Amino acid sequence: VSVDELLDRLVPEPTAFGDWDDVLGRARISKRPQRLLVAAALALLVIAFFVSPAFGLLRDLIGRTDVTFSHSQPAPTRVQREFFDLSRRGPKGLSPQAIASQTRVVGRFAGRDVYVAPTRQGGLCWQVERFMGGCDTERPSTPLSLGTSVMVRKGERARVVVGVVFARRAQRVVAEYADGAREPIRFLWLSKPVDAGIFWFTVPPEHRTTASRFLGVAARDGSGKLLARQWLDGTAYPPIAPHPRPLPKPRPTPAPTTPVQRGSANGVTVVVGANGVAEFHTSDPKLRRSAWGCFQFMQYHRVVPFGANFGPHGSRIELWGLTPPVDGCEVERGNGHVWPDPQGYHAAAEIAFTPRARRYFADRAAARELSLFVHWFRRHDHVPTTGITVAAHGDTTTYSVRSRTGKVFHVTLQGRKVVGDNLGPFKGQF
Amino acid sequence: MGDVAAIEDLYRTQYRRFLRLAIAVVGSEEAAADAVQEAFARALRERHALREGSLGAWVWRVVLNAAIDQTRRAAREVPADPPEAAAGEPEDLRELRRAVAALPDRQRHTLFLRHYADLSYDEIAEVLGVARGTVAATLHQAHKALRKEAVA
Repeated sequence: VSVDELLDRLVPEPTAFGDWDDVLGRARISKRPQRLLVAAALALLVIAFFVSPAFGLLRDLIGRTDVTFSHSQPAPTRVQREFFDLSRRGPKGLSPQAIASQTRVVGRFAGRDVYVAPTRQGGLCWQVERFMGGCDTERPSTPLSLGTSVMVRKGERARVVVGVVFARRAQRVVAEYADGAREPIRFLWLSKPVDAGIFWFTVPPEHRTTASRFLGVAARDGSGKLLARQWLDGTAYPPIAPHPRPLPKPRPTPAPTTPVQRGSANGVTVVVGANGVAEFHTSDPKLRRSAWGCFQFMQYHRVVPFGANFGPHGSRIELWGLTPPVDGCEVERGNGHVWPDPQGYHAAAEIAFTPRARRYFADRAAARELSLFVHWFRRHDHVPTTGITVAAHGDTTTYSVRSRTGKVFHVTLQGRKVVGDNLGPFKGQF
Repeated sequence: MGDVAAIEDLYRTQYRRFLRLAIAVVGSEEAAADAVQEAFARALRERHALREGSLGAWVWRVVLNAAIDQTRRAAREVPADPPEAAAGEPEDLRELRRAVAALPDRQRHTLFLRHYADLSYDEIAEVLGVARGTVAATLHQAHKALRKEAVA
């Protein structure tokens, strides 16, 4: 155990938030005049808003709230890890590259936190806690992006809309309905590095008929000029009938048919049938709650494993999209990997049917170790390099790990900046 | 000359680093939080006194001094066995706590500024008003002493 590790344990990083108003009070710097002015201005606005029809347009002008993103509450580690995993698991070119460590809580919606993380290409990823999420990896050419889902609350389902505005001049976001109704939507403009607006709302009950259905959202600048308009499919969701017909029973997954592939590892056995059904067996109850899957190497820009249909509860799953024989199957722990990972960098069970899959598992573990190490290293001053080979060349340092296949993965850092690597498709989020 | 907005920005963006440094010096989070609040209030009151040098280094110095003052008032700085650490703290941490407390003030504060405030050697030099080489040598001595006393 190093001195640095002990020092970290001696005084762990605090999680408290400061109270600037208390500092001002102690310094006897009063904010009262400013507060009074703000309060008076707000009172006038409220009166104008409710009393005078001439000020009806004001409703549209108060839609934007500017938020200093870096001052928002950091997201819990669990959520940061989800954003991290989101970027690490995706193949190169398809990964959103979210900067997980900068994930923040930006608000709440229907009792759930709303999280946002910037991406390396200037976009953002968002998530309404355990409900829905999305990413715009780069700033898109259209300055408005909408996501939608259906939320069931108190026996009724309602359309939920989450949108992102990239137009910096946007001052108003307005929901538009088929009956001509317009409803201003409050939106948060998040400062750099996000530099975009986000909003969320539930389509109200009176707009769940075809004639009054929700059509889309428009973003306008301060003078009312249209900056962007995004339509959805126009589907209206009527209330659910009081006694809906029972859903048909799902068809039981058939047994794997011959010829089969059989394999086992770490207490997990799998049988993959010619009909695309994989049957897993294990006596370890923890692994039953893990992610199960099989994969096949395909050519998509470069060779990537393609997984299918994780079945967290059943032992028999249908591998939609794969035509056996498969290259391998695996059971991945649900809690992801960290560095240093006392449980290692392999999946909980890796079953290779081909030499190529064996090489893949070995290379992925080595690359994952290095990738996680670099991620950790760039955020901590003193990191033991157990298992990592270090070579300094001038102002750069190269860290490398040798895979069991003999392949050496390396990442070169200049200070904390990554200036080179050969992790290829295994590259996660540094 | 420091202005209120710049000091507020430091507070809002780096509060936890200031707090962690103060916890290291004072020994308890509650007293440390009070020291940080008092330090920033002092920084606001005395902001016109800053004529040269960086605002950041000056504020770090004010926070460090406030934490030390707090400790002196409580007549204990990094106690050998603070109450919250006495029960159930692993032996290696107890050893380290004693070893840190036994370091000379300059070594201990340099170590805290490096490890808990995450300042560079140049920034520490500016905070403490010493040469960069002195910071490096002091840190080396501190680490050597801790390795000998706590990790051996």
